[in-house]
Amino acid sequence: MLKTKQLKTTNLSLNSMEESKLSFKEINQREREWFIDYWVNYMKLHSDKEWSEQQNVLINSVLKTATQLSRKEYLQFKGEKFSKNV
Amino acid sequence: MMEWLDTKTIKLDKELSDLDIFVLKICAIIGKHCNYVLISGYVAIFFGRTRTTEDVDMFIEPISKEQFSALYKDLQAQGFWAINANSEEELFSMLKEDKLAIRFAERGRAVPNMEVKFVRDLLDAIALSDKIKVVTKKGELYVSSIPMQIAYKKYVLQTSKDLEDARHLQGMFNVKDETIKNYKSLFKQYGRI
Repeated sequence: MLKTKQLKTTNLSLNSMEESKLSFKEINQREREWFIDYWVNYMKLHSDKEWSEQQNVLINSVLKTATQLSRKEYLQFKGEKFSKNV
Repeated sequence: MMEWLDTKTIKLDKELSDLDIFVLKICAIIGKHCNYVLISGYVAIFFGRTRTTEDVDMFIEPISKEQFSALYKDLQAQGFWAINANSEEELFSMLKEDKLAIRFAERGRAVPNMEVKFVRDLLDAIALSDKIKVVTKKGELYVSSIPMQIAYKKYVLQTSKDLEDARHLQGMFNVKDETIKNYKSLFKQYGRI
């Protein structure tokens, strides 16, 4: 559970004039940067066990779905050559 | 909390992900045969970045054909295979002659995999010699110096993903901008920028 009140976060709030000058891409990038800073602060205020358990939910679920690829499919996906023997 | 035990050693009490367990297992084998250093995205992920990767990048010191043979046999004996080729000769040639990366994964899988390259020049060699040790619950890993990693992502790679990784690492380790900027001339010298 995030302890929001304990976190020193970057202030993302933009007034409407500022917002109107930014493209969707720029707003999206600012939001992403805000989250990175938020997460770094969260990590600093919580034990390694607490933050890593949350991070592992993401990592383990992505790896589970990605493990279906064969060697050949994977190398094709990466644009790399593979041996005729593989 | 992450703790510096000395200037070259960090203790990290995180719960290990499936990716971390894969990395620890394969690094324990590779580390018996040669010096290695983990670089790039996995370093940021290992230290908490909220993303993942299917491949982990590693530099190893150039080793002889005989040393490579022993390493490859050890990896095979412990349940790993190479993704790019099955032949030991072909794999060694890719590493040494073609300067390509070779990938190792658990047998029967392609993902996750360890992308292994020989160090190519002095800059890569610096990454290897300046590595730091991270002590986890289930073993040790050697990762690239954090300031160098941040600088490489910020000045050389420069994709959105790399810039975000750099921001994360810089925030986590409180690295000053001046420290990062010092690497610029080194990157220029070795043709990275």
